[in-house]
Amino acid sequence: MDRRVGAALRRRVSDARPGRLLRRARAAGPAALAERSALPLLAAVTALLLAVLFYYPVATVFVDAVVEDGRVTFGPLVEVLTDEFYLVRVLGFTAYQALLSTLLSVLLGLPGAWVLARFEFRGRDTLRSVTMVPFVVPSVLVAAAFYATFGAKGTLNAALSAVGLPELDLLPSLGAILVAHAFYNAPLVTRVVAAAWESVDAGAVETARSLGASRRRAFRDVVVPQLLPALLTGATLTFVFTFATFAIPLALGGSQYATIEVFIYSARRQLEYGRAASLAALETGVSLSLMALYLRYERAQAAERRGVRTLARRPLWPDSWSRERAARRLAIAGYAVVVAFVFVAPLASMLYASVSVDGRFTLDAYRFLLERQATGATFQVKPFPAIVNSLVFGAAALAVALPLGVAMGVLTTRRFRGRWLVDALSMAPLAVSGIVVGLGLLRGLVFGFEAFGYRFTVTGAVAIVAAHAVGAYPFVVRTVAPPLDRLDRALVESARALGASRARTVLDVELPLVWPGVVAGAAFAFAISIGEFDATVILAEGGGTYTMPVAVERFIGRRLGPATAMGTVLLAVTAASFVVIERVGGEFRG
Amino acid sequence: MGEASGPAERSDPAVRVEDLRVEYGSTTALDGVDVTVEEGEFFTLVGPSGCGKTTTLRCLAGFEEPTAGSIHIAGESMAGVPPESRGIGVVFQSYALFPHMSVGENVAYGLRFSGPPEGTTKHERVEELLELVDLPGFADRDPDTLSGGQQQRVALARALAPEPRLLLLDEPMSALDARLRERLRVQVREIQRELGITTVYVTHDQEEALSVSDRVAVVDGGRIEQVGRPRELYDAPATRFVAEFLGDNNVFAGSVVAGGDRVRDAAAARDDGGDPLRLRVDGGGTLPLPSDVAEDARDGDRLVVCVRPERIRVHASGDGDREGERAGDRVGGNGGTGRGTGADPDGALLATTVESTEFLGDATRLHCDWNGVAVTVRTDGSRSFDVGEPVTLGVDRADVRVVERS
Amino acid sequence: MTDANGRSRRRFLRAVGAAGVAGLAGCSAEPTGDEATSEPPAGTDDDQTTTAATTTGEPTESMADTLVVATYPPFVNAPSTSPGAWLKREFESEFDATLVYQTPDSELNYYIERAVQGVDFEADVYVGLDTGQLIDVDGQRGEGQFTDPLFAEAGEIDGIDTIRDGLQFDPQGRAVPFDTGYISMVWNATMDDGEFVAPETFEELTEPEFEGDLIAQNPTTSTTGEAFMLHTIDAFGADGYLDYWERLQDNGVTVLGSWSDSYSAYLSEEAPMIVSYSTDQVFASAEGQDLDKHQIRFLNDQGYANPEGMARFADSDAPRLAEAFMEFMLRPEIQAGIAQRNVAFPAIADAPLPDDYAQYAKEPPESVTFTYDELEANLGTWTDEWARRFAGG
Repeated sequence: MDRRVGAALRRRVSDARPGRLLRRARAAGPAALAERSALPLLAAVTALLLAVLFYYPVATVFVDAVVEDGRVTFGPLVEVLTDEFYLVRVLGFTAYQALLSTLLSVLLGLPGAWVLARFEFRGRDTLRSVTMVPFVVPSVLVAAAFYATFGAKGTLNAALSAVGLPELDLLPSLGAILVAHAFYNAPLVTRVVAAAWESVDAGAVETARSLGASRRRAFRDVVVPQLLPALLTGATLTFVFTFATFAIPLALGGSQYATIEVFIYSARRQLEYGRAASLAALETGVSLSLMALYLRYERAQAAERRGVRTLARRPLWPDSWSRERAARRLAIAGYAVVVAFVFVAPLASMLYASVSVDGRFTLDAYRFLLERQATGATFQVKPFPAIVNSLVFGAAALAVALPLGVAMGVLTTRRFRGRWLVDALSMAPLAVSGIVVGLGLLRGLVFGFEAFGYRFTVTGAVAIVAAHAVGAYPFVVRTVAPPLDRLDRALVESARALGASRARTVLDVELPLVWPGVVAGAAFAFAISIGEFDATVILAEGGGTYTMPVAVERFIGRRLGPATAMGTVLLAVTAASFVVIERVGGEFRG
Repeated sequence: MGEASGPAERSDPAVRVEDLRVEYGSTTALDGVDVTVEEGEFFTLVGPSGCGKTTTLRCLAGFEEPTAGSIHIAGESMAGVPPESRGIGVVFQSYALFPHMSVGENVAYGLRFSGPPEGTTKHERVEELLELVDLPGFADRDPDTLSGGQQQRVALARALAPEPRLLLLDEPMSALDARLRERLRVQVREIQRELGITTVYVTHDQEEALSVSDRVAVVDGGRIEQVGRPRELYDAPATRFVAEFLGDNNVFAGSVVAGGDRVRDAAAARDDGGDPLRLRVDGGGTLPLPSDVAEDARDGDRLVVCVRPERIRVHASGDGDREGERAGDRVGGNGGTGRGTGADPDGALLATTVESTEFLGDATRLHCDWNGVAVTVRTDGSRSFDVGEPVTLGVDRADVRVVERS
Repeated sequence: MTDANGRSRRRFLRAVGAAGVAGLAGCSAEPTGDEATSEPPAGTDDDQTTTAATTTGEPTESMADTLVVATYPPFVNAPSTSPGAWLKREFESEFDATLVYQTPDSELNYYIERAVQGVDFEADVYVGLDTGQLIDVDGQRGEGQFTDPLFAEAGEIDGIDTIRDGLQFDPQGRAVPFDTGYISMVWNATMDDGEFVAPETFEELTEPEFEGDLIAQNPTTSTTGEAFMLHTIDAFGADGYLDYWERLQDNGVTVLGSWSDSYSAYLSEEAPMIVSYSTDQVFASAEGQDLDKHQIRFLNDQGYANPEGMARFADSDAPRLAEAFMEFMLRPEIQAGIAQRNVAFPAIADAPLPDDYAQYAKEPPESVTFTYDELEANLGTWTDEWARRFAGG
């Protein structure tokens, strides 16, 4: 060892020793203070946003479940909870279809995660980026697309009869509901699990193999445990979403498949707020309980791990073939066929509907969009402002939801008593009926609340962005918190000891190491914002702040053309945005 | 920063920990720890896992909030001071190198906040430290491509780069193999001496603790059992725990008896009838007690004593008489307390049987059975013993150390 | 923030909103109890100055210069055709006033909610009321701060006596019908290789021949669905309609949630019959579609009438202008214009419609409807019983 260096160091160390702490203390000026309080501040902002934009508005609705004529009676709630029809038939069916939908979504989503995470092929990045596209398609278009694809005269039956097979009567049915739910949620499973798969530590797998585990065994013992939390995240989110499903069962299943949300809707339509609120409370109770259970599991799973050296991807088209390789490629091909029918065909049929009338090719629908843009009255919905608004709201919601979600994720990785409850409450925006949220926003924000002799009202762009951010940030938390929880605590502590504040440590160490989760969370947040309808349409108040899904809804008429054309625009813009998000996200990581 | 505190004064120790307590709910991790580390000292906390040594270190670093008690570094209270403002460097067992940064970036990370020392650039400083840990030219390497030992040296360089005034090492060698561990600890010790940096070292390995430290604190059950120089702790353990934890030791529990004990050992017959107190080991024979104990102990007192294996002499039983003579000679030579009876009040001869042997290279360890009590002996290895062979063990009174009385 | 600031800020927002860019401002605070408490939703007016004029202007003996018309979104915004823009142009060309539309997504409930919560609003007239909504309004009165009437009585406005018999649906004379539609069956004669012919009666509809041939809508979530259920109640009585529906179910009726979902299923030829509007051929011919696929059938020679009404808000600060608007709406040429653009039938008998209008817009030999009182007493029960029998898993 070179002692001369040591001598030089020694001199410096002893020179530097006195007053060293003072130097750091002086550095703790306003900037350092701001840095130090950044995380708690973000958490406080999150709590405030949640309170103003979510808990308060929603409370104005839920209160109807327990208050009648100004007195607390619990009457409506008791009525619903003691009604066998709601408690057993409706709730039972709702849970049943949600469970089946979740299973199907996982079944359809998992192979996708495998292909995306483990194989290298041209366009893989782009494909991964656009997986979330189905998530933003308005349900009315999905329903129409399903009739066009799986209906009596749909693409599937045309294909079947072309090859001489009997036609299938698939619609309407419970199966159609489940497939449509999978259309929405399997991509979510794919995305979450792929992100986890890409973070699997190659070293652990290699260690297992070196210890004599077969490839299958190593997968079961090392990879699966690392994927399981992500898989359950996807499954839980899917269950919660499909538990609150509304438009899809109505459109693809028929009246006998009415979920609890359908009854909330019709109660609200009949202005029976007590019943609507009570049913919504029941629904939220179930969803939140499930979420809380899941969160407890997620926390229990958190095993520390060190940094990531990810698994190398195999080429989709291998240089040499073996029986096993061929079998895998065959399985992937089979999966591609399923994907083609469940995801591509409905989207393609939507595209087709936008350029055809009675089988004739026409650009009338797009002409309609252009005409509406050029000549529409100011009080009418136009395509271009809808695109701009969607993108601006999406970007703004992302800018808000990402820091909030990360801050919440970081803060909740700390261990404290009752953490799962805080977690569950912060996840509540996912578990409350969209109808209740919408009504609550109307009552609580658009109508405003009185305080200090003023009536405070919240509408317009800022409110929409805030509402989107509140709805989107739980996704960021859910994709970021589990990998954060698994990070070696010593990494964070090393950075702290080296002089980094808590916030700096998040930026320099933790975020780069859980980056796939952050990008996945960003994609979700953006998708939520783009696809959000209930809150947007209420906060926009029929004004100039409408988004693409609102435009789609406004363009629905007797003919599918205008709505599907707008839907196609929505898809194109969204897909492009996802690609940009992932590219920018990839570059940002360095 | 917490309470007002002036700049470090000359009289302030580098680290002063007073009555440190850490409780998690109803469990107590630290139960009143007091530690003082002097400037430039290599101070080690050693103890079994879960004893509280790591918790103490985490409190020093600011990763853990003490329930009660105070920590001063260079005379300044650390209450409310976050880790990044404490001027510490930490090395963890898991290396904790940032996997997304190169070796050089890892070492330079702390310089982002403190800046390089005056007169150098960041780049120079990184190279300087990599040379210090014998990894010159490694700056552009990916941490993943390094061996465990190399990674740990990078971690050390990283911790030292911002010139901490206190280096905290948390089981830094535990993940390495034995040979590497020995080499690295020598290296760490050399660097520490060279830089004169105050170091607190946490380990569960007593050998490591004894070999590198200026002083060692033995921790158990959230309390410090004993603090001292390695030699002091080894030779004069204050408690049974310290006696058993540091190095090999024979620990015997028994009752104090006056002379006249019933003699069971033929070889110890000459001891019988002596005046000084002895210890009747539970289930076994008797051992002499050191004179300072013998004076104030009473018949029937319960005591625990220990005798280091290397302090016990061993001879084949056939040599018994000669051994007795030699022992007597030697005792006589030590002088003063000899009795005319031929009994040896300053020693004992134990008749045992070899149960098993361990060849250690430079020595042999014998596990002997002394009427049902296990006794471990370390010999110089010049003579080999067979399992089942009867041997006589010689214990000097001065080598018997009382570690517990009740 | 002062009142003036608040307004100018929102005026800015509106200007930005009109340009189609999301503005930044989103909240405001205004003193309560002020005259100028609320404004129409941002972006629904053309002219940036009108709103300020409304909020600051005081109602005088002369007519106000802005009329805020609340209506449902498709009235101004339907992709095919809607009367909104035309109506505004016609009205403004004759009256020295600006017509501003408010189109809240929750339609009339938006105003009922405001009344219950005690929050003012700007709308002067509501266009597009039906009986059920009137019942909702009256049912909610008494809740919260909703004590005074929401709508004023129309009184003897010009043209009210020209309204056709049987269309008046408000016993209290607040809502004035301005057009009507009929719920009927639409069927596709090209199905079954061109052999399909729709049944003529409710009874025939349940015959095996028509098994799986009908798409209807859920009465709890859809207006057409509710109308069709009411039609069956008219035909079979409150005691018999559930049994009839049982037979429909046994015969494989498909009941979807909304009209648009079911219509897209119909267009996909999922089934040859759908419950829809009797004006279906108007659109089909306008779009050059095969009229064989858009045949109309009035079961039992009846159509369920669905008149749309308008009413003046009691709190309007432009009552005279509102009244003038309602009279304007009943003029024959305006009636004809609305009917064609809203694809409905005029509320008056002598609207000058083109001769071929009746060729595609079919009126039933007999129209069926329930009165306000009948619906008020029973609609909730009827719907609920239907839902408990046929919905929910």
